[in-house]
Amino acid sequence: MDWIPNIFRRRRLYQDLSEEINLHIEERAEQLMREGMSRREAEEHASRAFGNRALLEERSREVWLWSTLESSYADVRFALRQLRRSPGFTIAAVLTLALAIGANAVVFSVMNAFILRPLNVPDAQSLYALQHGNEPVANQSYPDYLELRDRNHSFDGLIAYNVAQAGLDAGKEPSRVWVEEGSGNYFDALGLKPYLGHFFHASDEHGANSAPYIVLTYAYWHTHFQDDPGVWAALSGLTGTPSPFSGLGRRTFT
Amino acid sequence: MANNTPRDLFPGALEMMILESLRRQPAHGYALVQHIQQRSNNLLQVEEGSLYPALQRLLKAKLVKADWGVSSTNRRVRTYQITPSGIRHLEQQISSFERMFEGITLVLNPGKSPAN
Repeated sequence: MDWIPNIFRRRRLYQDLSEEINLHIEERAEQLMREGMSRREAEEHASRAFGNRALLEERSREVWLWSTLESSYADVRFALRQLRRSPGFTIAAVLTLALAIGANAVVFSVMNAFILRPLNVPDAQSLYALQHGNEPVANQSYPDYLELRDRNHSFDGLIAYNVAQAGLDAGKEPSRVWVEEGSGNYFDALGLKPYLGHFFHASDEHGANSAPYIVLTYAYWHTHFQDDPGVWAALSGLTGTPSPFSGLGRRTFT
Repeated sequence: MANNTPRDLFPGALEMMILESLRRQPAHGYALVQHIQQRSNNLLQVEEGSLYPALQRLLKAKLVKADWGVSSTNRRVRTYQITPSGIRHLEQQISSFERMFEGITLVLNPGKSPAN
């Protein structure tokens, strides 16, 4: 493993080499002057006899290092200098890359959530989303949902959900969180059991704002409350809905 | 390592001559060139600078070692010295060179026995 100290000794090696070569040419010139040449003639002659100094120095240095490594280092430095010289291009290039990487990351996280990691519920293959006609999104109004649910004969159950944002104040660092509002039969229809506490049921629903139960995801409990089993009971509630948390989802359902 | 410049000597010849000169006595770069040129009766036209890459190769292979000192002309010079492994290497090189030289001589002078 000689090469590690060599990297640090490199500057020293190069200086030694340069000094040695200077001395060599000087000594040769002095000898030629002793033989009767003028200083200028002697110096010219001496450096001609030495050969291509730059090339020979380079070959001497090459002995000590991995020259491809050094030349790629030089390439990187050159590229950085060029970028500094044209900030307009640099900003455009960086923005283009940032946008492209960002867009890819978003597409991947969506694909990852919906395609690569499908819903982990029992009997997931018999889950269907209802869509009305050719509408691009499968949104239904709440009255429509109630009507569909009550007249449903095709499915075991029909659930409604809506993705929204809310403020969560758990005593420290209130934060904005994504929530999913679900109909009373949400967990029963999906066939899910709570990890802690209890889930809400269709019977807890008595009209608008009647069942403000909150279920915490396992992932949130894990990342924000370090799996503390007492914490969900102590939670103060979501902003605007001062009700106790009712349960905690299972690890497998996120 | 790519070597695009034509060289008069076969690979390793310069290293061998450097090691042999250093076995006789430690020397710095310029003195080595002088020594090799004088000993060869100026038959070998060694490009003076080509000595330095060769010295670096020998240093790296730990066949020689170098120390900065002060010369008789009161100059800071880097003196090279052969190491024990340099001596072993040199002896191997000389014997394989002699065999090679013998082989070439036999081919060039069919019918004659080698000089020695």
